[in-house]
Amino acid sequence: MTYLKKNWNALLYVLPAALFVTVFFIYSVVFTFVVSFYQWDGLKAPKWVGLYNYRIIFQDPTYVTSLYNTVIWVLLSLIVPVGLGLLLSVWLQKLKGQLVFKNIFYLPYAISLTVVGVIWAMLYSKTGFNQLLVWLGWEHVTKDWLNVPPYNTFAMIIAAIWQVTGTNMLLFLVGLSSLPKDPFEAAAIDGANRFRMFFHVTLPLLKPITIVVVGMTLVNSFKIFDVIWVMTMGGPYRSSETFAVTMYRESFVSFNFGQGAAIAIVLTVASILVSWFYLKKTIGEGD
Amino acid sequence: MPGKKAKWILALLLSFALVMAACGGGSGKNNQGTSGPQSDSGGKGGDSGSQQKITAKFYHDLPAMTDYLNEINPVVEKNDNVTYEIIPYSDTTSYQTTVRVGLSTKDAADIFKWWNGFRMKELADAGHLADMTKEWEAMVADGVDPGMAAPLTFDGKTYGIPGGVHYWVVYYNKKIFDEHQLKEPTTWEEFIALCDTLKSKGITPLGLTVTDFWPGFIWFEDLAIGMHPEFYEKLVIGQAKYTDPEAVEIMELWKSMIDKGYFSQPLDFNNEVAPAMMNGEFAMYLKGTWYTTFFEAVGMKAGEDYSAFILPSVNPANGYTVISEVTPFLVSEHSNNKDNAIKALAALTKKEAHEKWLTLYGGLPIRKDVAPSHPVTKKLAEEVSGKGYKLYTRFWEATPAELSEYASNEFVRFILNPESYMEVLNNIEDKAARYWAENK
Repeated sequence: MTYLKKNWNALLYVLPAALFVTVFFIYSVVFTFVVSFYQWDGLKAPKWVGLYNYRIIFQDPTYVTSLYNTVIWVLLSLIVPVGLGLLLSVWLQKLKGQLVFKNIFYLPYAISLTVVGVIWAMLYSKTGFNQLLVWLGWEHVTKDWLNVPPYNTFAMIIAAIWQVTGTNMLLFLVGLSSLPKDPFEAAAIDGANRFRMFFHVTLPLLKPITIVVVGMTLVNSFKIFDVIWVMTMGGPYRSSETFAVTMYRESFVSFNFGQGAAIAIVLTVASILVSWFYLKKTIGEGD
Repeated sequence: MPGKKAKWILALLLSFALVMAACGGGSGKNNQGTSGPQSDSGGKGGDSGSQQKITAKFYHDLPAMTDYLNEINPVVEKNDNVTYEIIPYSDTTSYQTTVRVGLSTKDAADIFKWWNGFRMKELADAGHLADMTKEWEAMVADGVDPGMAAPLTFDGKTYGIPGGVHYWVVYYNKKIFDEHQLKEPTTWEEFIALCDTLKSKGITPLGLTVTDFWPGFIWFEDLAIGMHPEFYEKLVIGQAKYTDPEAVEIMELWKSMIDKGYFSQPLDFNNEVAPAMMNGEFAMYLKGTWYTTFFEAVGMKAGEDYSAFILPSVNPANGYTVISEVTPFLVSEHSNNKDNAIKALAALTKKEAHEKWLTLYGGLPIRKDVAPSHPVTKKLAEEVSGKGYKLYTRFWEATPAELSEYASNEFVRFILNPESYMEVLNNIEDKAARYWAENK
């Protein structure tokens, strides 16, 4: 009782946010978890199926493809935008006219992934890149990029990378500009070339920023949805779905809410686990 | 202490705002759609002084339908004192979800556009549709074709009205046909000869689409009803297998057409097909009679620049066959405005309203005393009734949603990889066998 009496003031401030999170988040998560053990189409009464919805994720070829695609997306989203962002930031740091390039690289981030999807879908259509390839006399290289797996997944990853590299670059630039000068001077005096400087001085000093960038990318890449839905709707024949797309499709296109819920839970647990291990390993190293 | 009081008020206000937002937002963002403008009742409205004004909420997911309903409102208001309050949705997926989930609640849609066949049957079986059998008796007495009730009847009860009745036909670029002195084919051999002639002149015979995956079934169903119509009818209700010899035969014919190069590259039917046919990139396109508006939108004139014929049956012993689809308008059983909604919906089937509706939404008439004014539709309607065509329900509705979605995706796999036809048939049969084992 004394806790309430002592802190009612502060609790009242917290109340709106707490209510919001409880109603729209915690309740929804619990509901989703419960539904995942049933088969339910929104019309008839739910039917208990136990762990069936979870087991089938690793057995049905459609879901296995989705799992595989999700892993590809996560890996490539980690390596390319982060790596490219880092390289761009190092290159831009010393460049004259940096401001122009910074803006050019950052601008794609200002548009939503949905718009990115629409733009790139047009680029991959027969009047986009393929037209260019034909003009260059390389017609044999043209493909129906979005209709042929696995080209479609990689095509969409390129579109997503185009959008997100700019932010990573900016974050790294901020990090780079806040680095102390001394270690670099010391390394230069010791005769380190640019390569060794980069790997043994710059990178370790950038660690805090890198942790943030990689962490953000990890979580975002698990839930990639809009760019895929707009460009291929997960197709053709469900070959380019990721877990978030499968979850949406099962729930709102096929009205298989139990299956969608199971996929949502697996996705959530996977991203929480991966993020937790990642943070434990990097921050836990305590430097 | 003034500080303390201010904090109290602020916290209270925030909580209040939050609760309000939660309640208001709870019914979904799209729910409060833009209602159509009030029909101007300054006119011949209220001719039967004792008649109550009947309004009903009309839910739909077709952007143009808002315009159609706005145009029909003056007509139904004048004749029956009915006004439709329009609730539009821009996205089919969120529309289906919202309507479906709302059916068992107080927010059940009064009138809503839906799909027939199994997609409607599951709503009827779950008791979510208002029985309109009695209303149909009055409608038939008023002149509606009683045969139109068949696709909307389950277990002896009829639900809703047919909002749009469409056939699946082969559109063609008339200018190309005229230029090369080509005629509409009346037999399957003539159709194949036509395709070969076009190919020899460097024109791709048939346009193709796989956009959004549902179009995968289009050629399958048309070839099926021309080759093995009874098999098709059994297949869609689980009484035949996708691996039966009839199905293999259908796929092999389809494959032969693909291998001969009859089909174009896949195009988006929303915005690429019509311009491509207009520009002569291909000569013919198999689609529903509702697709006429797409050709007109790019400036093609019905009867002059484009026309349509019904695909001749592959096997002439099967007679005249055509795929039909019916877009039903339904009333929810749990709507709190059910009786008015039923009356409001029936008003759309009266002569003047139906005549006007046909000019807006297109399709074939549901009344014997109304003829379509659209030249292409008129020609097709005359042919279908004149030659005694047998109608077959479109695959999408004829078989349960779970199977039509899966099969359509697999058919797209086949279209893009024709050698995979046996794998495709096996995949669909696996899914179908499991479904029918659990559901019958």
